[in-house]
Order: sequence, then structure tokens, then C-alpha cells
Amino acid sequence: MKLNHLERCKTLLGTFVEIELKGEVENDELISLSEELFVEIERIHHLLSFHNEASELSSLNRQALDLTHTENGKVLSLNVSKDLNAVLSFALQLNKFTHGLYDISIAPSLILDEQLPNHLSLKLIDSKCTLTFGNSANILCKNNKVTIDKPLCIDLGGIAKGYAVDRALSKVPKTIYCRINAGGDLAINQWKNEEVALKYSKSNSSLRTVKMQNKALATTGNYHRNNKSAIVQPFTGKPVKFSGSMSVFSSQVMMSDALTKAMILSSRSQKRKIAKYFNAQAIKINRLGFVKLYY
Amino acid sequence: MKRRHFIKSTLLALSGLVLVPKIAFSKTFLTIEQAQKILFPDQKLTPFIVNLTQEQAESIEDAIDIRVRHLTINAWRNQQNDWFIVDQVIGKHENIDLAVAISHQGNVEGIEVLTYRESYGSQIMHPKWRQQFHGKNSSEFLKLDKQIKNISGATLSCRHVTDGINRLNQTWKQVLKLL
Repeated sequence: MKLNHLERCKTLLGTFVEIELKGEVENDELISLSEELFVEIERIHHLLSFHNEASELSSLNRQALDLTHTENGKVLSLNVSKDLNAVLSFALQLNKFTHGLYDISIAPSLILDEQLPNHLSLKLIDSKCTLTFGNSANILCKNNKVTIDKPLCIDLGGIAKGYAVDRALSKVPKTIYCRINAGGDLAINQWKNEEVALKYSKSNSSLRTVKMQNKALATTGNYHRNNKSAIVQPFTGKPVKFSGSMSVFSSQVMMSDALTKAMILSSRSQKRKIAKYFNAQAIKINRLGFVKLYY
Repeated sequence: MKRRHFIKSTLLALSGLVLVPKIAFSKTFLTIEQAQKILFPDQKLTPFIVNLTQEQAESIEDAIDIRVRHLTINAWRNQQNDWFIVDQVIGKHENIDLAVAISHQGNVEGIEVLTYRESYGSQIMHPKWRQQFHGKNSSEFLKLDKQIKNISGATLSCRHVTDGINRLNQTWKQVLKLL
């Protein structure tokens, strides 16, 4: 049978999601597989989206915020889906490894900076207020059960997109070539000998082409955000200015996605430790195109 | 020092005028026929071009506060009165051709990005520059493309596509539903 090829793009996860499939199967089979992958990405989005008030994450946040500061000893304990469990578990592992630098409980800072909607009606005046909430150290997650002992608000924006791509890729048979690119979070199952262009500023010519180092890649940059930054220093509650881009290759897009943020916030020696521990390769490109590698 | 600065800025400004604006990045995903096959499998679609009147366009704009840039709608219909529309969305930096399926009950049943063009020049806001792409088959512009298969960068928002879909939804409510 001849090699068939399909390339589609849809708007999901608040960005453009491209799926490319190639294989010696009927074209209709490629279409139905692509449909299945888009559905899986959408399913994860509905579970883990901060913007969606009906998501599992929003429900968790509402309950976590109901724990008032005065009620010492009150603990929230609830069962969560295996998807939320997988994302939370990795986020907490990375939080521990980076001594709190990577933190998913920075939602109050992002709400204050108007980067997230305030549908949970948080009263925030300045960045000091954001520090009164709990952080990742107040969350425990094990065997699909989450325990939270202080009011807090979680945003999985820096990790859930990567997890959605991982889930979708896991549904592709090995015989079919698959490339998924969800707004820069990229996974290719047959990644060897593939090249990728890393973008480091608004200009379209700001690209550095490199060989894929692993099957997953994520890039973070603030150049589309009009001087705003989604990277928050959790100890001050303030957004961190960052120009250029940080890209991370690893075995999972969720890992790459989260590691880009951890790398930006870490010192040079910490960056190398993180890369080594997670068997990842990081490429930092400044706004002028100068490259630094961490692996 | 001031003189040098003046010469430098003048040269930069002049080069901006002389250099021909071009699309730096463009990607084609599906042809119109492929999108029809995906959104309306095994169904016969008949071309049905709709020309909005100025009043209709203004009424749509008033209802949703989104600008109607083109009065011509490139549409197809099936026997059940479901619509297949090829539309163009202009963002701050991007120009996107979309295929949208709207059911006879007015529900958006599917959206496919046909062509994505990213530009960071002021030309994207220029009507003449945009006009060259409107209602044409994406393949006509492949000669302009600089095809880069994999790009990983900061996440781009698709808010403008959402605005475009809202505009088409309103167009269905006010115009297409009655045809």
C-alpha cells in the first residue's frame, strides 16, 4: 500500500494544534486517527483548564479556596482523575527538586497580573496578597487522592498542554509517523533525524535550527505577551522578566513544558542539575540569538 | 554623535520603505476539498456564494462588536441546509484561512485551519495586502511559502479565530438561516 499523509490544524488549548500523520494505511484511517487525537487533547483541556469553570481543576480550586486561613487543621481530601493525578504528581516532584522554584500555585499572581480570569473572585490588591495563599508544599498527591492543608489556587497552564500532547501521542500505533505541535509543545514519535526550528523573538527570522534530541520538546518565551510574563517567582509573587526563549528536550512533553519554567527560574548550576536529573537537554537563546546549552 | 544617529535612523527608515514586504512563514494544511471531505464525509456540497449588504454587515458588527472585513462569503450547502464556509481571519500577526461547518440548527460542527500565514510587518493590516488572499485556494500562494515543518516557540493565542467563529455564527443567525 502506498504511503499516505495527512496534516491538520485545529484551534484547541487556546492555541493552534497541528497533527501530522504518515503511514501505509488508508487515508480515511489517518483521518479517523487524527480525529481521535484531537478529541483526546480536548478531553484533557476540559479537565485541566483554569479558564474553564466546569473543569476538574476549577472544582479543586474552589474547594481548596474554601479552606479558610483561620480554620487551623482543616484539610481538604478528595479523589481526582488519573490525568490530574499524573500532572499534579510530576509538578510536585519538580517543586521538591527545585526547592520550591517551580510552583503550580502561582495562579493568584497571574490573576493579579490579569493573565488569568478571576472567576474564583479572589480579592487581590498587590503581590504581597498572593503570598498569603498556600503553595505546592501544602499539597500531597498520591494514588489519585489529593490532600491540601491551606487555601491555594492552582494553575496548570505551564504543564497541562504538554500532558495533553503526551496522551494523544500514546494513542498512535508505532507503525504510523506522528508529529503533534500544540503551540510550541512538540512531540514526534519517530524523532531521529528530524530537525526543529527554535523561535526566540517575535521576528520570523529569529530561528535556530537544531536536530531533535529526544521525542518531546517545549519552548517558553514571553515575546507574544506584550511585556507581560507568565513566569512567576514564587517567593516574591512577581512575574519574572525574560527575553529570548528556553527550550527543553526530554522524553515527555509534560516534562519539557514544566522544565522550561524551572530552568528560567534557576541559577546556572541548578539548571545543569535539573537537566541531568531529568535526562533533559535545555537550550537558552537570548533575544539576539546567542545560544547556551544545559545538559 | 547626533549626526551619526540621524544618518543611521534615516537609512533604517528608507530601507523599510524600499524592502518589499513578504510573508516570512506560511503553512498549508488542508485544501478546501480535503476539508469538505473531513467535515462533510460522503455528502454533496453545492457552492453558494453569499454577498452581504452593507446594512447586514453593520448589523452583524453591532451585535457582536467584531469587524466584518469582507462582504462576500465563500459558502457551500448540502441538502439539509448545513453550511460549509471558507473564511479569513486577521490577527495582529497572522492571516488564517479557515473552513467552518455550521449545521442547519446553527451549531458549529467543526473548524479546520486551512492555511496559516504569520507576519510581523505592518502589511498585515493593509487591505490590499490582505485582499490578495481572500477567497482563493491556499495552493496559489505556495510559491511565497518558506516551508518549515517543525517550529517550537512561545505559544500563540488563537483568540482571533474565536472572534472569527463568533462573527460567522452571527452571520448564520442574521443571514444564512433565512436563505
